[in-house]
Amino acid sequence: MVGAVLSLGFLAVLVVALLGLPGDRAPLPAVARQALEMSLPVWHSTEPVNVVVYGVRGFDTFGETFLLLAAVVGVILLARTREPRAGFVGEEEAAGPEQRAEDPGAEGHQEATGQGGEGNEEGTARTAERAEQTGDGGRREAPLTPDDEPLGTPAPERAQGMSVVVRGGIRTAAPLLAVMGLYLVAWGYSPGGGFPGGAVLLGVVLLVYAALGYGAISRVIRPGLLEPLELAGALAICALGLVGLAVAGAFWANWLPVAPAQTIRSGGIVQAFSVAELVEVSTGLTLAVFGLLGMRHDWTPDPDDGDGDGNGNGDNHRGGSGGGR
Amino acid sequence: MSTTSLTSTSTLDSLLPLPAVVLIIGATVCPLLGRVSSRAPVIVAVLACGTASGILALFAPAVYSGRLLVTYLGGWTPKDGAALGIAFAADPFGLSYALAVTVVSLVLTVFTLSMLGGLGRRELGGYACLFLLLAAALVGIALTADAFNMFVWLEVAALASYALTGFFLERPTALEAAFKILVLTTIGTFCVFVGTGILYARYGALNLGQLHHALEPRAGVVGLLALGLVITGYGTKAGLIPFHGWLADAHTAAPGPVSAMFSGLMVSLGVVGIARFAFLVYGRPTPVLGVLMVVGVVSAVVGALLSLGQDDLKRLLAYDTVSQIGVVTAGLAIGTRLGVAGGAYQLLNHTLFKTLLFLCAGTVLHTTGKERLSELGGLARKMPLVAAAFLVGVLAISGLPPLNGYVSVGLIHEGLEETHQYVPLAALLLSQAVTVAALGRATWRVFFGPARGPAPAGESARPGMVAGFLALATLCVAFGAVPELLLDRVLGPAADWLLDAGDYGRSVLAGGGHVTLGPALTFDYLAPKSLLVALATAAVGVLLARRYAGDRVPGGLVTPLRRLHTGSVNDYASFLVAGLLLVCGGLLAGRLG
Repeated sequence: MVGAVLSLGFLAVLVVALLGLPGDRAPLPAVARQALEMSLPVWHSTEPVNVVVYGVRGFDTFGETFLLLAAVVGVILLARTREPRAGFVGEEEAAGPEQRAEDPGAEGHQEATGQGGEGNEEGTARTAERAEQTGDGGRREAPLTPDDEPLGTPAPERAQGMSVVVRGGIRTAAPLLAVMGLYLVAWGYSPGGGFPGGAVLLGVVLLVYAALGYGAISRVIRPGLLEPLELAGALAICALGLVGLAVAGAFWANWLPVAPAQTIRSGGIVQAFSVAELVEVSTGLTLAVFGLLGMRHDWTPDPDDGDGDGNGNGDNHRGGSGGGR
Repeated sequence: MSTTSLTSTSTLDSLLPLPAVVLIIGATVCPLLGRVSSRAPVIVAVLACGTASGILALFAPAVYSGRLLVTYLGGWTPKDGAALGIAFAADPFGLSYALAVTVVSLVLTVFTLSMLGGLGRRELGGYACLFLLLAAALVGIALTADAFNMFVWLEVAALASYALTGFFLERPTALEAAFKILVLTTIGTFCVFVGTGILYARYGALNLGQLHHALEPRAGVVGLLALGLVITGYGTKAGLIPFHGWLADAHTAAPGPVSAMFSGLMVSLGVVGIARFAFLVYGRPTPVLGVLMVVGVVSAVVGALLSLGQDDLKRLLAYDTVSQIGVVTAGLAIGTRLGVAGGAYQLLNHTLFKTLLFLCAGTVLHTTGKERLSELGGLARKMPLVAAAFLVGVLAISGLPPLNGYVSVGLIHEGLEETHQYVPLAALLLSQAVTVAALGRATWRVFFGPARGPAPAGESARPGMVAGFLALATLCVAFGAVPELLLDRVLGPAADWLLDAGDYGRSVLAGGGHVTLGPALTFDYLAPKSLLVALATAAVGVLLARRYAGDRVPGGLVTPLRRLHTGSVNDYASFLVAGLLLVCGGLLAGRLG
């Protein structure tokens, strides 16, 4: 009831504001006209949106780039696994009682259910997860790529196994889509540029992953490769701005020669920025998505690790996983 | 003026975006270095913060003498008063905030290096990266003069804060807090985005100066609704009541230096946003000041009462932040030169003493593994330095004479008296007394009271941590010892620019300008009245603290207030929306009346 009133109130505020806005036949504001007027003569570009996003107001996109970096690093940080730490960490110590308060049943279960673990779903799930992490789960006999899998086997369906239609279709579509993503960056059909291009490339990677399995992309999708690439893209973007400050006297000024309209280099730093953005966005998004896909989120202290400093509380607050062993 | 000095200032102007960019470059390098060693990213963070403060210090002489430094990114200056390009402008208020961000971040990164340097490599790489991105966003928002660019930096700050809140993943509270801050801040940034979009659609401008001219002489209904949305959004970031739901959880769960950053610097970002829009864009019409005064006073009183009822040390400090930001907002909402200068002064002081207190609380948690008042006690003997630093912070917040809080709170009280607003004055005095009580109770129980339970494990403070305490405590004393200098050189000019929206707008569009500085502000340090008020509120506070020094939990008004804080993010979001409706209603009612 209260919720409905509040939602309607919020809606009312937005509707009243919306009704007060000029209609779509109103003259364009001076700022927007400026953007349209300068695009061709100044930047030699037929794409005014690109000129605003990567050129005149490129500094906003500069900020957005690092918004993306914050998001990617944030996802990686929240999806990370434990790392060895040195010294006494009070926050770890404080976590023990907090986890017990959060999951008061865990201790009791361990004693009550003993070896059975029937009523302790979370405990069995955790054990299964641990088994999978350590690699003693049973998926050894799966072929390396789904193409090696004989057609029409009556075996239980494997997660990787996509039909030949899907695999063939995606084998055809993925290169086309990749070319389209690159085209968006090179020729920039409004709104084009590095951001949408990078998102398209992520789509290609995900399609290949879905159809052909992790084996097909495992050589490319490595954090050791993607992370330096992403950060190189980000640094290149900073460098573009700084060169402008040094050469043209203003951060984010255009310092590259502007080629004739409708060529690949028309637009000066718009194009250079777009390319660096493509590197940063495609790698960043891929890292974030695969960071989430590969997330193994069990931060309950593991008894096998014997985590060094946690001896004060490490004995009693872990879930019922001990029951299964 | 000779041509040489003209060229030298124009190169100075063009350096304005550099501090934020330096911090960003540092942030980009951090995750890479995190693959190599665990201390390297934090060392880079220290260097980046130091460099950024150095560059900002270059602007100080020109800006504090009343000049507005303006640069247009990429050199896209306005044509016929319409600015498509993005402007960066350094006014004394924004520059002081930016300097506070970089200098305090420098202290915080040194502190981090010392306290958390033993953590894992990858996690510290990510930590340092997000920390620097957050600092860069705060510097960016302090210096930009473009409404959409403000939104971009607000978003960067928001995204960086989510993962920093959830950094200690072994604590179940950390992920929960990260989720709450995510939900509420997203609603807040949505409000800012819609507000900014409405302003652009209706007035065709994003540049703050151009917007101010377009809004003159009087904002219509649409303009006021946009202002309501913007105040709600930035108010969420500021943690003002009723937009504050995320604050206590996030501050409690985050690592020590991060909660210090949140409370001392990130929360102030909301105040800067509100001040930019209410003062410089809208030219502080009366209904805005009225709404801000109500929000500020309610936050001050309710925040202090909530803080009195807490058992968790960091949570207690977090609710005190709500209260202090309320005092700052009330100070700004006075709208006179004295009041605005007092509010700005309090904002800087809050950065100093609250950072100090959160660092102490973080140290206590990190070295003992405990943070509840009911489990701690007698720590003064084990860690005398931390106890001394905490005491300095508490005395500063309490507004006792040699320290900084005395001057700023005194100025705000004077400003309220000058404008005959006695009800807010009484409320602020009450909140001040309750604040003293809450912090006094915490000091007693954690550091000086009888020890409870077994002696905690852990180690003592390390050199970098001691350096942090010393630096911040010294600044607290310094900001209280030389009020005339600060008022004359920093806060007077800051108030002059904030109160002269017309001049600010013209100067931003013209690419630079001067403001005529008003007469020197004075604060009578030894005036019997201010001394008496300070001592009396402190005495009442101490008496109140004595009442709750044992295990007695404050009841009365505090219980229903605490019961409202269910911890459910749905409820907090409802408070936020209710706040939006009240703010918009207040603005519209003030326009009609």
